[in-house]
Amino acid sequence: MSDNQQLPLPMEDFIKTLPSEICRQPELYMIDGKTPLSAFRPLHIDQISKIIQFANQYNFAVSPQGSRTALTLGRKLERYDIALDTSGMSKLVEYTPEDLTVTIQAGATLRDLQSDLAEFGQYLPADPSPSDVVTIGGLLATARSGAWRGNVPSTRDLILGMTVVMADGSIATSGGRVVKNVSGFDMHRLHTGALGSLGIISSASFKVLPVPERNVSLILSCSKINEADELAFILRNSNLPIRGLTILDSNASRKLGFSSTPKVLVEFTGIEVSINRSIKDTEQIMSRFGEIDQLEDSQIWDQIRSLANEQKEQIVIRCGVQAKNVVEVIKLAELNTAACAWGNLTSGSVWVIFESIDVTTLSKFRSQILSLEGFMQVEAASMNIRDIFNPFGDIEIDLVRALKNRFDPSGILNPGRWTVGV
Amino acid sequence: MENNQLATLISELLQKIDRSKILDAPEDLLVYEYDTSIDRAIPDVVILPTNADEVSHAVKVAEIYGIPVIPRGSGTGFAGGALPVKGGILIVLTAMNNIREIDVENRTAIVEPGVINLHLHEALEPFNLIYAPDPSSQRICTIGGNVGTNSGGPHTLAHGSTVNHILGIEVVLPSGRIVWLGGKQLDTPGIDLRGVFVGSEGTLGIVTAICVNLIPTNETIRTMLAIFDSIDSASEAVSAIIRSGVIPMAMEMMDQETIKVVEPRVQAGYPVDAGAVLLIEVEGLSEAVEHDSAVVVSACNDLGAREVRTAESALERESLWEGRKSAIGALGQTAPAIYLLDGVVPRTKLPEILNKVLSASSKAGFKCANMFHAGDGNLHPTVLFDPLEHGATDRVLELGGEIMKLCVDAGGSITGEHGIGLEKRSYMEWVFTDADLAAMEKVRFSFDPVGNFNPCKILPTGHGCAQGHMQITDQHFSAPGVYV
Repeated sequence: MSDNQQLPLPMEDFIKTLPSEICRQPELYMIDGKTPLSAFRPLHIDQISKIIQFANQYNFAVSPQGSRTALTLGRKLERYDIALDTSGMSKLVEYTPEDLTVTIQAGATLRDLQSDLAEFGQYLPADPSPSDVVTIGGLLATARSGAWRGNVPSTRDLILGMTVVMADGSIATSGGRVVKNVSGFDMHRLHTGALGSLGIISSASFKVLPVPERNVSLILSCSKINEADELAFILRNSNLPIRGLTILDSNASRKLGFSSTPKVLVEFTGIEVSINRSIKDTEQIMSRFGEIDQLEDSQIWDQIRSLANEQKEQIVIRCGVQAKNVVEVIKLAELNTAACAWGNLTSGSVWVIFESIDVTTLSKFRSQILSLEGFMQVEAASMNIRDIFNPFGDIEIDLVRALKNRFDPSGILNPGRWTVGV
Repeated sequence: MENNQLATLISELLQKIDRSKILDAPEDLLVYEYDTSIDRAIPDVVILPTNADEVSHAVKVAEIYGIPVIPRGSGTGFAGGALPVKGGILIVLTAMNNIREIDVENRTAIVEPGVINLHLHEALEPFNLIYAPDPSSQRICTIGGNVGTNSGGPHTLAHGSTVNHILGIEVVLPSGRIVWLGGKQLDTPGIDLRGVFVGSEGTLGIVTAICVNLIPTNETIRTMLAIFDSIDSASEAVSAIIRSGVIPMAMEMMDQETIKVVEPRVQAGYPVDAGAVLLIEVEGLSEAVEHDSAVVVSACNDLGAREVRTAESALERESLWEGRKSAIGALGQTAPAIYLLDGVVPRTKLPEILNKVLSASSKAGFKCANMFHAGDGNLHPTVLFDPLEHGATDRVLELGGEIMKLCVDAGGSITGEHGIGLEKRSYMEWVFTDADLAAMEKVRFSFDPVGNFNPCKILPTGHGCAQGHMQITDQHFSAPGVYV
C-alpha cells in the first residue's frame, strides 16, 4: 500500500487477510498519473476471485494488467482503486503437442508460451504490437494482431476456451480444450477485445500450429506508394505461401533503416522447395518494379511492431479498411502529417504514427476513414487526447452497455475505458 | 394460440408483410414441425420474409404479443435448434437467398441468410475464390443456418469453423432494431459482438445479411484415399500425420459399416471389405503438395495401410468426396430412421472412444456407423433404428446420451458443429458449471431480456421449457419416417 495514502478501513482489513507476497507497491502501477489504493499480484485464481469479490462488495474499481503495454488503449479510467497484476499467474496448465492444443494462464507472456511450444516444433501464430512481451491475457483483451492476420489463422481464430473471473468473483469457463467445439455461447470471443471490462481473463486454451520449416523475408523497393500497392496485390494474388505482407510508406521505411522510398515487405513460410519457388517467382515479379533484398533474419517484423510503442510520446492509430483501401489510408495519413504509416494488406489494418496531432485533424482523419467504410481506433495517446477524442469511434454502444450492465452491474472492471460508465 | 388471437396477430403482420408470405393453414404449418432431429413442434404462424424490414416488423409484432420468434433456414439442423417448442412465429429465411455482392478484389461477399452454402461456392468458382466452411449438408443448408450453429465441415481442420470466416452480420435484434455487427474487415473496434453472435442459434437475434471472408483457391489440390484394415490403425495414421508437422486441409474417416452402405449407392471407389478409409486432402504450391502427400503416404503405409490411392482427375476427386458427403443420405436409406450424433474428443483419444462407442451401441442392440472429421477428433456416430419398435427411440436417445458422456469424460465436447439446440441442452451441465451457464445467460439476456428468441435452446434452464428432449419426443412418434 502507499505510505502517504490513508486506506479505507475495509481495504485495510482485507489486505490483512491476503498472503503478504501478493501485495505490491501501488506506486508501481500508476495509470494516467493516478496511483491505485492497492495493488495485488495473485498467484492463484482463487485469489483473483477473492479480490474481485471484495472489490465488488465495496465498489472498488479494479484494473487488470499484465505487461502494461496497452494502458493508453481506450479512454481514461473513471475510477482506479485496485491494480490487479496478472503476471503472477503464468503457468502452462496443459499442453498436448499431439493434439495441437495448449492451455496457459493469462499472466504468462507470449514469449514464454512460444518458448514452451518451440520445444515441440509448434507455435501460436500471434504477432501483436509492441512485441511478444505481452501477456496472454493482454493479447486477448486487446485483440491486437499484426502482419500475419489473415494469412495464417490468428489468436481470434485459434482460441478454444477461456476461464474468466466474473465481476462478482465467480469463475466461469467457456469452450473447451478440443479443437472444434460449438457448445454454448462463445464467451471467450466476447472477452477477446473487451479490454478486461467484462471479466478478468485467468487462463485460455488455444489450437497451435507447427512452426514452418523455413521462413524468409524479402524487402521490395518501389518508387511510389501506388507501385507498392500494385506489387502487394500481385503478391497477394500469387498463391505463394505468404505469412506477412506489409506496405511501408517512405517514412516507415526510413525509420526501419532502409532508403526513403515505399517498400513492400513480404515473408514466406514453408518447406525449402516452397521458399525457393517463392523467391524465384518474386524475383520475376520484381523485374518490372525495383530492387529486391533478402533479409538475413525476421527481426524486421519485430522492429515494425515496436514502432507502435506507447512508451514513446506519440499517437498510435490503427485503421481497418478493405484491402483496396490500404494504400488510400497510407496516403491520407501522409496528407495529415503522419510521422509514418504501414499497412497489412490481407487484414486491411493500417498503423499510423503521429508525433503530434491536434484533435481537429484527428477527427478529420477519422471521417476520411469512415468514408472508406473503415474504422479508426486510437491505440495509444496522451491522456489529454483520449479525454476529448473518443478512441474507438462509433461502436454498438447500446449492446455493449447492456452487456456491461449484466456482467458488471457495479461497474468495477476498468470503468469508463470504453465510454462513460462502460 | 386461440383462433381469434391468431387472426389479430396475422392482421398485425399484414400491415407490412404480404399475405403470400404468411402461412397459418395447419397443412402448411406441418411442413415446419420438424428439422433433422428427432423432436417435432408446430409453430403458430410461419412467415417467409424477403427483407430485413419484414423480419423486424414480425419481431416487433411478436414482442407485442409476447410470443416466441424462431429463425429457420433449410431445417437441416440435427439438434432441434429450429423447432418452435413453445409455438410462436417461425421466420423462415429461405426466400432471402440473394448473393448481393462478390467483391473479388477485396475477397468478400455479401449474402442473404437463405443462400444455400453450395450456391455460394458455385458462384465463387469463376473467380478462383472459396468460402471455406463446407458442411456435409452444403447442397441444402443455408449460410444463415451455418452462422446460427457456427457450422464446420471437412475443411475446418485447416480453415476453422464458420466464425473464422464471418466479417459482419446484419441482425434484427429482439427489439426489432436492425444493426450491423462487425464490418467488411477482419477486425473491428469494440467488443466482438459478431464473434459471440455466431453460433448463438437464433437466441440473440435474426441474421438478415452476412459479409463473408473469401480465400483464394490453392495452386494444387491432391485428394488421397488411404485404405486400412481397422479403425485403430487409421486413427493412428491421423495422429502420425499431424505429428509429422503436416496439417492437411481435411482428414475424414469412414468405418466399415459406412463404407458397406455408401459404396453400392455412390460408387466412390471405397473397397467394401476395408476396416476403415481415410480421405485426406492436401493443398498448396505444387512443390509443397508433392512433399506433403509423400509424408501422408509414408505415415499411412507405416501404420499398415493396405493401399493409398490418389485421385488422378477432378472427376475422381469429386467422386471420393461424393461418397463422404452422401454418407448420411445413404445410411438413411438403410433403416427406418437414423440418429446422428456429434461429439468431439482429443484426437489422440479417437481409437479408444470409437471402440467404446461401438461397444455401447452393440450393447444397446443397435448398429452404429461412423463417418467423421478425424483430423479434428469430431465424431459422428450414426445409430440405425426403427422408431416403430417399442421403446427403440428412448433407447436410442439414452445411447446418444451415453456416447456424449464418453466424449465429455475424455475431455471433449458434446458438439463440434451441430450446435446444442434442444437436443443437448440437458447435457450442458455435464460440461459447464452453474457459474459458466450463468455467464452465458447474461449474454442471452443482454440481447433478449425477455427470453422469447428461440426459447428452450442452448441453455438447460428456461421458463416453461421441458428439462431435456425426451418428454417432448414421446408424443410425436406416431408414424414411421426417416428423420434425415
